[in-house]
Amino acid sequence: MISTATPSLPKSADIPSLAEVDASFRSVALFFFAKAAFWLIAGAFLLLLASIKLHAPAMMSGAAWLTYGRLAPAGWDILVYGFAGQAGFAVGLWLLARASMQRLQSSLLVLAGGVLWNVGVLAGTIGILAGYSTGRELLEMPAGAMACLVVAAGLIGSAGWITFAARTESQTYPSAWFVLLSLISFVWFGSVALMMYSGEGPRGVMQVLVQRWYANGITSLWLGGIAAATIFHFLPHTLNRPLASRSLALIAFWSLAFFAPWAVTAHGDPFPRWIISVGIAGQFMASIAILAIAMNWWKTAEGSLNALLASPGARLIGLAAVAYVASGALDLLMAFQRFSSWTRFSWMHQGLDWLLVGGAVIAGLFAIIPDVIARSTGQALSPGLVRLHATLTLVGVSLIAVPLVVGGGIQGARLSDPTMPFMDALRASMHLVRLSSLGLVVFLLGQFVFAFALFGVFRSLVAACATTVRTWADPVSKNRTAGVRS
Amino acid sequence: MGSYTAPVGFFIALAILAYLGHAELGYHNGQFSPGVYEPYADLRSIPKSGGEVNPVDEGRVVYAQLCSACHQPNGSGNPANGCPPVAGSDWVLEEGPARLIRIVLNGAKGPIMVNGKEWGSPVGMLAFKDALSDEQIAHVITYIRQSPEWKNNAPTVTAEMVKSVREKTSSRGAQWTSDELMKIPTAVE
Amino acid sequence: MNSTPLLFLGILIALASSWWGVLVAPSLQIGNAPTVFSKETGQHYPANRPGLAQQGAEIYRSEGCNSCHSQLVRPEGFGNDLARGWGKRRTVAQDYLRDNPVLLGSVRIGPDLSNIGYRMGAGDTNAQPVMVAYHLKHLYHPRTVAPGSVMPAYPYLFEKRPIQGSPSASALKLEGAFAPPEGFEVVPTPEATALVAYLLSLRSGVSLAEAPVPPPPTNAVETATSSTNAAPASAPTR
Ligand code: HEC
Ligand code: HEC
Repeated sequence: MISTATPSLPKSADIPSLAEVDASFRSVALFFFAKAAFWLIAGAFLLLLASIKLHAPAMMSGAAWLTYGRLAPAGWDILVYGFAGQAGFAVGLWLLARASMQRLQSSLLVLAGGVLWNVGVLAGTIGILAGYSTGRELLEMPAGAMACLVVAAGLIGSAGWITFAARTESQTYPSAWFVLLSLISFVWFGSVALMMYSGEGPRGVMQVLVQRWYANGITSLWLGGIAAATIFHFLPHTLNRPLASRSLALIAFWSLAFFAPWAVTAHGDPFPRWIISVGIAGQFMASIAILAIAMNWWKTAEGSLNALLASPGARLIGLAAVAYVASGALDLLMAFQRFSSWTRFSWMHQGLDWLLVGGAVIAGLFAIIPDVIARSTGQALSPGLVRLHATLTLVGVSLIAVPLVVGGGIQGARLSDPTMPFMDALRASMHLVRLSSLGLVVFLLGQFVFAFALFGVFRSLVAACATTVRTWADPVSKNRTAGVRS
Repeated sequence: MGSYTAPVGFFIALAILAYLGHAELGYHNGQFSPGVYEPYADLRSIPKSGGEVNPVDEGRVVYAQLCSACHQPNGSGNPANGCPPVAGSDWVLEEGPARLIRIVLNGAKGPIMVNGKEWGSPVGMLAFKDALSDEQIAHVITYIRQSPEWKNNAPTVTAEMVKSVREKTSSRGAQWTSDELMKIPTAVE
Repeated sequence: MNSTPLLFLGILIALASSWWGVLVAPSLQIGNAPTVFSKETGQHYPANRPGLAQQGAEIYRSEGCNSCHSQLVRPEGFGNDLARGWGKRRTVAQDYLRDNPVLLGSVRIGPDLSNIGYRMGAGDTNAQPVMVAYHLKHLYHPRTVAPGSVMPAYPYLFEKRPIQGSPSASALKLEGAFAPPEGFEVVPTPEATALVAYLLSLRSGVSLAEAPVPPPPTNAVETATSSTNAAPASAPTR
């Protein structure tokens, strides 16, 4: 334990109760999760369309905005920015506030950031579908939309740091560190990338390095940081036992923050040899973090794995933990020349993305979201729907990610024979790609269930609100009631 | 928070990862030069370019790009569409290349006997006279005649030979048929 | 971890280190690389793309062709891109000097396109019309030339219109199920023409000092036995 110096804490009278902390999230939770749920459906729908078009390439080919090359990046960006980032901000702030035992500070900043964020996502999506994509992976949104996102993340992130600085709890938790890292990361990578691209911009392959540095940074630190934070919070919480080791978490945290952003290059890239070596070495070092994290979680859960099957939330967090470690392990394998020459450019690429974003981030967030909503608004999502949603999400994500990883392996194995025609190798893996389209259908259904459950919360909130208004209005004049309600 | 201490295995794994990272940078740094790319280790080991072109290797690339779709990468042909083998084919290994050059220049169609078996298709093989230069045609034919992978071994075809046949057949637009080709002497004058 | 400013500073230093190592240092080294003179072609390499091809690059970007196609050839020992005939040599930083944006791509649902301008046409000027016709047909509906292809069709880059007087010279020659109805013809829009010009401009075959077009072994048997080969000992064999 490292807690020695205690910052000057506010007087005990200022320490809010847990309920007060939760209640300070009411409007933020409602706003962020409603928007996120909408984007998740939209994103999954676009990705499903794109995936169907792989099987029927001439379908709906008359409209430019419906072409695969626009749908796929738009859908993925919506998933990442519209859902994962947005819901991640809300959940992250909540974890941070609870760990700091402090009400959310400057919630107006957060709401303003939320509005700007959604404007950015909307503009960016329209931009991509209309053909204004920059063509740079995860940075496809036109610069104006990206700038909105960066400023919004800055607003939201500063509220997080302000809340942390005003903490009334002297001990800090690993989940809080990872959230803080995540909050800085997007602003850092986004603003530097935007700045480097502005004006003349970098020449030649330097453009690729900037894009890779950004994409790798935000997936491993911004999204990965939130995923790690949710699991670090939820695992001990569900199992009702302490985290196995704080010092291991500390090692993991600093090795992730220091080394993960270096892992930007892959074998075979058109960069001078040393630049590739630096990236590969970074990947090896970043794997230390994954190893330490995996070990810590395992030691925490060992002996009570059954508890991870007990509730929908626990099952989701179990999936998230496995997916996080698995994607880290695949990343490590990719650092080896053999494995990389075999699987690079195959479906495994998409499989890996889904493992991290779909498995670790989305599943992890959904383990906590129902709790956040119930505690901050006082209205719980229908338990039946939450259970159904968790099951559909779990099955959906697994059905998407696993076939893509396996299909990538098959495709790569075929391609490693130079006499095997390219299209034959593709065809040999297409049935697995079809399976992952099915997974997308299941996943999408699940998100409709969630939206429906969330709608239920809104309805009861509106009803409750109406009752309040009525009881408030009643004493004044019984006749005015109807007027107030309408 | 627990006070679990990691087992020795963790520290060994940690040491291995750190070693791998270190070794990668130590042994694969290409002397941090902007001019060293995989697979070369340093500037000295990069061969000088601009040497003699090797027709077999030039031809291998042309073959992979243009012919392998039909004749298959291993030269076995494709019974499904009547595309005959080129590996070990008596047409390919014939001492004189006059017929062979004509096939690649103008294409061929209709039934054709290759190694005693009937192949061919009504659509047949397309002409490459517009797509390939004399030199490239010489390279690809030399490759199919001398491919070490297929153990073929017949004399080299030069760009001059292709040029002379091209001039002689310049007025011809149609694909060749097996019967027409059989009437032509195999040697190129 | 208990002091907020220290934690903030620590994270910032961690993040800044990668920025320096991954972006600043390489940029100092290769960020200003000049074009090089090639004896082989007697020109500076890479040359600027012609205007039409430059417009085509914009179409390539906006249609997201890079979601399925890569533009990089890996060296020997890193997958068999070379053995597949996707290039005469690996691609290096020099090849991308004039591209903006540089679209390496990260998946290959379709083949690599770094050298699609050489494939089939091989630089012969009289092959150009054949190649253009091929690519136009392929873009209009890939299955016209590649049965079973999963590449999307791009009919919106073409115009289907009634034939006015005599058929247009640029009309696609389509057969069977792909043919337009009687009395109609399919002609490429300027976008399609530009895109094809771009595809034909994709060529990275000029021999470079750092990536010579390999003067490879004269035959496979010799490779196995000779140790004095031009290729370095570290180069893995296929
Ligand atoms: C569209 C498919 C196709 C392509 C591409 C193709 N061929 Fe052929 N090739 C054929 C067919 C079909 C025949 C048999 C012709 C007939 O029907 O008479 C043939 C016959 C031949 C023959 C004579 C028969 C034999 O097998 O020995 C040679 C030699 C040959 N091709 C070489 C080549 C070369 C070299 C290339 C590349 C430059 C090439 N072909 C590209 C389809 C193709
Ligand atoms: C859904 C993925 C996908 C997208 C998007 C896509 N392609 Fe393709 N492309 C393929 C596949 C698969 C093939 C191989 C089969 C074929 O030739 O059609 C291919 C083949 C090609 C070829 C022929 C390559 C060769 O070696 O013969 C060219 C040229 C090409 N695509 C250009 C484009 C262009 C230009 C775009 C954007 C307008 C594009 N592709 C978008 C999947 C795609």
